[in-house]
Amino acid sequence: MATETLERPASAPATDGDSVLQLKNVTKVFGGGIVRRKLTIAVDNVSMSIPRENPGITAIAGESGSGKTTLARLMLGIIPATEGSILFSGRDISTLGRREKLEFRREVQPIMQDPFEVYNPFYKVDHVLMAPVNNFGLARNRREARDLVVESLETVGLRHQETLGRFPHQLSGGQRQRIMVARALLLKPRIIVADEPVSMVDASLRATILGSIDLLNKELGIAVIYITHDLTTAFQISDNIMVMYRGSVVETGRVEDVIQKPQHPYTQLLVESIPRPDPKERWGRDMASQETGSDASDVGCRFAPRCPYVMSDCTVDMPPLYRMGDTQAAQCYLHRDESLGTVASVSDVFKSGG
Amino acid sequence: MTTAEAAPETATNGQRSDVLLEVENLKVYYDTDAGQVKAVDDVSFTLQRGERMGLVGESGSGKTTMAMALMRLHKPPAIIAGGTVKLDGVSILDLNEEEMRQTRLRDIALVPQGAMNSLNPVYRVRDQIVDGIKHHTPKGEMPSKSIVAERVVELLNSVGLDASVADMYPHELSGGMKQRVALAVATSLRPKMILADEPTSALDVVVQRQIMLTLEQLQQEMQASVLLVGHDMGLMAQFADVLGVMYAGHLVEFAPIDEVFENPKHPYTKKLISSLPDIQVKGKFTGIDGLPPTLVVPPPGCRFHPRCPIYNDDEDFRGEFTDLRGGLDTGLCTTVDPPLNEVEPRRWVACHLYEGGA
Repeated sequence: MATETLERPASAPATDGDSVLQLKNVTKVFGGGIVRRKLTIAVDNVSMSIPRENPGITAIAGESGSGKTTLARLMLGIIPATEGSILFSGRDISTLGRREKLEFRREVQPIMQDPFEVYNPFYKVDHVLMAPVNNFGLARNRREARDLVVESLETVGLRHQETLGRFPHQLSGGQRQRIMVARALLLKPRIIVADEPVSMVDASLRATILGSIDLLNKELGIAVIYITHDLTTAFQISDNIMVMYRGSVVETGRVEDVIQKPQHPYTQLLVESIPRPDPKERWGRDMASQETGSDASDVGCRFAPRCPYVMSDCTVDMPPLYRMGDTQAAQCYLHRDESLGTVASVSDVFKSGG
Repeated sequence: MTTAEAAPETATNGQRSDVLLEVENLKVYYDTDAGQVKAVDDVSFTLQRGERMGLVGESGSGKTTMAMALMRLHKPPAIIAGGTVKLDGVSILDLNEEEMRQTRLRDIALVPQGAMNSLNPVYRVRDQIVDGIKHHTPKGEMPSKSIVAERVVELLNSVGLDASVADMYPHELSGGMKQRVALAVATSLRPKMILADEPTSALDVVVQRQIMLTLEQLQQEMQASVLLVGHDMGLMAQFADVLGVMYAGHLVEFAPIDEVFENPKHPYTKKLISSLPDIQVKGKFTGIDGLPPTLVVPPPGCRFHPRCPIYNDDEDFRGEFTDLRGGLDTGLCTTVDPPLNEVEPRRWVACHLYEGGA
């Protein structure tokens, strides 16, 4: 990769040993090959870091095509970054050796959207729990292994009598998803990257699953990255949030600030569109900001073609993240004059201390 | 139908009845190897002309099965085991296949779940719309080509799409645009009733809002009734006038939407409402313990009792229900399946708490 020759935009903070995960000017570009000639910038110059102490829960919110899942896959080391670097405990994950890679795979655990795809339908669910115990040598004997599994199931509110020994199709979606949380728990990772963990689960079970993810964070100090399109659950369980639109982070900060007083026109549109569970607070009837075709401009602010407040500058240069206070920043020229400068890293305005 | 047969309450001024849809004791069963599954068990309700009804329930509660049965689009092994469905006075279950085909789309139309799958990938949008019109219009009544062409443009505009979309193929459209095409197809013959099964479940919130507002606009303009099936209480709060709540094959509550949210009566609805996350207060977010029951062998008595906070005397729920519970014979909960009663005007609940004119 020719990253050395590229000029870096305003510097991201230097690596500090206090971060468990750090992204430095990470960009991911798809396409440009023979089949897909057109380049798609899925993630555009994102810098952030998650502290080792009190890492909290960080939500990455956005609609389909925002780049949130690509960012998750980058963090998990599933795909390499096109530009920039991702550091795990200070080490660039693209240069890890075999043993370090295994360590990384254990320390950074995914929880995926549809847990059914993770299971092999011919194996009992025990397999998905016992495999990591065996692969990573977590127990000395079978008895100890079973105790570990039972304990982790109980932590997520499942009775082992009702889960072990069954096949995946004999369990409900909620149970399958909680087993994935139990699996993550077994490995006691440093980071959990949960990509839409409750979008396929009934509303009545969502709270239970999110509650068990919250527990992993609060009790075990595991950093949680919660990727979702649902701002309501993001508000409920996370400490900080970053809102993405077509690859860039348009707003970031403490979740209460961003959701309750959004500053970017796109975040405002998202929040207004939440179907609030209150018949007295019905949606506004204006149909402004219609979706446009998929070919948004690659120059300037990505939201400009849909933005009701678009100005001439917006179509020329991408605005920086303007700091709106200690715990909020918005990537929008509307805030240029009142802002307290700009922030280089998305997490500069995160509320610390989980 | 002759006027002499009209329902008594509408005979006064010779106008049509205000009731559009009447469902009575509808039963839809699945015959499976494990036994008979009573997916919809004795469901009754009425829907007014021009009214928007929401129908919520967990997956497996029978809400989609019931909605499909209203159009006789239920698939084997499902069978309608009993009951009646009357749409504008016509008994849907007594029609022959040909009559049923003419009723679909003309009188009752479906906006399916995931429109991406309902459109034929090899047909242009225009042909999909024209096909629907042709298929459901009686022989000899098909309007001329030029009138149909005009109608296609009119329909596309009514759902917020440009006339040029008519010449496009489904793969050229975004998810939101496909769902708009599905709305255009569903409204092409100006049905009296639109059935929408989770029409926005695969869409982003911004697009979801646009689609739901478009559906509302069409519904008001045509004075059609809508049955919106889904699990998102937020969407129901935004869209519905009345709400039906299904649990394990039963309709357990049916009431105007404001009243359901302000004062839910059935303990299940109560739990459902209190478990809704919002963006006002953090930490107000709980689930409903336990799992929905299997419908092969449902729990005896009230099907909700194993999870019921009142029956189980949950501490969190004591305050507001203490008085009511005082008069409750919990022995009934495990032995008698409570019927759906009108406990107050327009408020129907199936729960022993409210029996005896509470």
